[in-house]
Amino acid sequence: MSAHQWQAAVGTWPRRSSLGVRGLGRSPAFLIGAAVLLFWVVDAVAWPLLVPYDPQAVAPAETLQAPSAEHWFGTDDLGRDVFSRVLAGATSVLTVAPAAALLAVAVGVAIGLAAGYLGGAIDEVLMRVTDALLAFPLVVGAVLVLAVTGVSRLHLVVVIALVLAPLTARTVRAAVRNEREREYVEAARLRGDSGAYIMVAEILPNVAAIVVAESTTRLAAAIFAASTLSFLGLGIEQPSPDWGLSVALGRVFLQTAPWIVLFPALALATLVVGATAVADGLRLRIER
Amino acid sequence: MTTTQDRPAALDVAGLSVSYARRGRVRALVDVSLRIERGETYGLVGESGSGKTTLALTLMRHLPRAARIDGGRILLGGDDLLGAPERTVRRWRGRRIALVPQGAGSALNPSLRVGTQIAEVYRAHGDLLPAEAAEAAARTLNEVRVGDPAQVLRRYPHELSAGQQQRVLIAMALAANPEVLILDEPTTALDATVEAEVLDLIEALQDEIDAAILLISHDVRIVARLCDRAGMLYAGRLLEEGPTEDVFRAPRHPYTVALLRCVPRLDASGTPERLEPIPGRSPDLAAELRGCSFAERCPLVRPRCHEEAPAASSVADDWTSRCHFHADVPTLETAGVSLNGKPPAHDGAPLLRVEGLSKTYHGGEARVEAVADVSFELRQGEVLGLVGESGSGKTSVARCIAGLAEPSRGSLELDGRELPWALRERPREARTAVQMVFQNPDAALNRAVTVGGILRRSLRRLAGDRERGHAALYDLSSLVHLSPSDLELRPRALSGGMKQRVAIARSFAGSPRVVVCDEPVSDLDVSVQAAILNLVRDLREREGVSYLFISHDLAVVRYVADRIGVMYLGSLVELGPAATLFDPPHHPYTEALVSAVPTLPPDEQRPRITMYGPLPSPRQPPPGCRFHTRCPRFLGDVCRTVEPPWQQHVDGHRYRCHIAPRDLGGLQRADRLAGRPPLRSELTTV
Repeated sequence: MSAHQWQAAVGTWPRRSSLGVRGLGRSPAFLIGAAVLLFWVVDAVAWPLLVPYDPQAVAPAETLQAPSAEHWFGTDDLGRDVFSRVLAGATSVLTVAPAAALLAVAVGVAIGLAAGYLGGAIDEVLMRVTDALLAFPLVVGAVLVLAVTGVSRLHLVVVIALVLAPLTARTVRAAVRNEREREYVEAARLRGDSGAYIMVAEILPNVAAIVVAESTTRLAAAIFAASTLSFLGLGIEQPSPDWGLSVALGRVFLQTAPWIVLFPALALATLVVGATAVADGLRLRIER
Repeated sequence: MTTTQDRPAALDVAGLSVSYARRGRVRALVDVSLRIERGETYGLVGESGSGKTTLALTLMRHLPRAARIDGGRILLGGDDLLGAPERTVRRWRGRRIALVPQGAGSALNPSLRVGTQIAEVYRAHGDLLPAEAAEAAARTLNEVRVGDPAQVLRRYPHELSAGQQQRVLIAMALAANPEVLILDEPTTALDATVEAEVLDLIEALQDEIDAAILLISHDVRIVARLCDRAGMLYAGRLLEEGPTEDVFRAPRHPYTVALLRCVPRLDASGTPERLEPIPGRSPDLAAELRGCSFAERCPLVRPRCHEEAPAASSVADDWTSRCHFHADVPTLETAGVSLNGKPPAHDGAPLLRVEGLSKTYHGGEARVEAVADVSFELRQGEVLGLVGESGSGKTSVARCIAGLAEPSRGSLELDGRELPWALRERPREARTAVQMVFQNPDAALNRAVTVGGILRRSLRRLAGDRERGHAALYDLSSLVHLSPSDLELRPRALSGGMKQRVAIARSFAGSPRVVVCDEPVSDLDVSVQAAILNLVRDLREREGVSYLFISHDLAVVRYVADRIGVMYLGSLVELGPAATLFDPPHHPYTEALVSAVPTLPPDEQRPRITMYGPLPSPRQPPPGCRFHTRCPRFLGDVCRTVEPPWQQHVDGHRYRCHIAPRDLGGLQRADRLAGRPPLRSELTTV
């Protein structure tokens, strides 16, 4: 008997339809990710209570000190406490990134719903536009837009959202096309419901889970994007303790004082990985 | 069937219990015992959730991880299957015990050629060179009656018909000449004529191979036709088992009686005027069950049944029943009044008139004419059945009438006034007047909305009433026997039958005139199907609604319809009263369809009429009569070149054929009497 038959025999087994939130609680990756994410969110709000030093306080006598009991993460070229700056640096990325992710998902859901449900020429046009946006590298697009509009938090949010929205649009469109094939949509048409009603009231609740997973995935990407832009000097400006900016400015001391770069970079990494772990957990839960 | 006493049975299951870790422990099989001798065929009848598939998987030692074997033993030709080490079992699978899984379409690997897949089976058993394996593959295909095996071996699964796919799977299972062959729902989802061919094949194989066959099916008619012994599995318990003939002729368990009463039949004499669905639902397998599993639904129930689980008591030598009162079962009436007592066809005024409906799908270069020039009328208060096999265009007709698809040509009239095809052009009254019930109740209900929400929305849109809100909702749900507490539930919490009730209620929200039902019961269990069919009939009486009722199952259509239309390859080939359509003279295609329906009890005398060749592609329908390539009563050139005229038989019964009613009736009756199928070559002159 062949492998295919075995597969088929197993395939007749009813799939576990719902795993419940308990399922998520059993996934260590999800739990650790959620804890890390929660830590940084709390920190972004409450850092003034947590920092041992003022992150902006310049101390000419204490520049480029290695990590010690006094300065856990050492000091930078201006004598500022790196530990305090790392804690304070979460705020800027966590104001821009969630807003950008939310905007990206909102735009992406709208485009995905319309393209997936209406199909035809509208689908063609919307998808070609998103393809074009997808083809633009983040940095090139951001440089172009921010050069014209000038750098501000709002512009950063919009630029990052524009870059991320096409991915969400594609995912949502695929899910909507699946739903559209189901007869409940036809039943709604038979009772005379409008296309807008069907999209929002009938289909959207059924793709909500996918939208939630999309949001966390896009959050991780938005965090990364925001930090990349500030590293390139296109985002947050001096003297913010923003991580991307700190890495960029500390680069020249990499040989002599690597901790200036290392700790903000690690902080960024934990945040991105944490958000990704949460996103993966949610996605697996939905796909099951 | 004849065995010497000293030889162990091919398969011997004793006291088998299996449970799953889910919401506590779900007891999927409880104390199941059965024995199959070599050369014997055992039919296991069960509805969904009865544990059929669990039994098949246990026999293959292929249970999912959440499953646990709580007790019992399985002997495969005398060898302990449950105790054997995994390595040994792996060697036994395929060689000693083989499974033909459900769903031929998904059981084959779509990206490998059929030949490769069959040859793989031989190679997996280790003793053949690639060239020999290929040769063996061709040989097995011959055994399962696949025409032109060399061709088929080179094809991919999607290039085969459903019947051929099923044959290939059977061939793979037979490859290593197993001692036990398990067929899990071998004909589910197949068209009636294809099903009949697969059943013919199994019947032929019974004589050719020496294996013990375990046939798992929800269809008692199939088990009755093919099996020596039958077992009735319900909620994980084998309630009755014995020789098929005895079990189905004079059942000794109330469940068997109840199930037989749910089956609509074509043989009019045996069908009760009204099917009797089994009341209630099957027990929750996760709950502790002290008494008999069928007690809640049993007409013979007595206090003892709730207290004490019945042991298998012996009715005769090889016949057992798990009923405390099996001796009383024969007092239950097994067959009611015949179908002939059914109220006469409604002679109402024409309500809906379809004229020259054609629907062509364009896909790139291809042009598929799904519906070709179909005309009929639906009368006030009438049920018009539409039958045909997959690809016949019946669903396209339904969707066009409902307004979900726009035809290429044709016109539609409701009450003598023209009705636009497009849904958005239909005025609200017309939209309310034509509603539809879909095949798959899972997909037809929005799983994010509660039942109450679904019905409320339909009431608001279709009945346009806001004031009566609550009362209207109550009326609507009681129309389909839903209780007020059901309204709070989401579709996921409903059984298949309840889902379909909600879907029916939804279509009745605005007092429809015409309800189009597209295969409304094909995804349901037999006992649930009976309840839905009765509901459909009752609603016609109560609401005076007309139905266009589409189904591939002739017995179902026979039960609900006043008149029946038969479609083949996009065209309507026959239309007539249900009372005359099943007897000669009727269209040769109808004749073949009718002959393919299994009867209960099986009718050995009745000839099976085989159609010739494969179903032609709808992209290039045959010229002349569309059926001529497969027609068992093919005449000659006239069929190939001239489109056949409508022949009027009796009032209101017409069919499209070159053979006039008198001649056709004579031929068909003669063949029926002689019990022989028509021979195409003899029929070149009439």
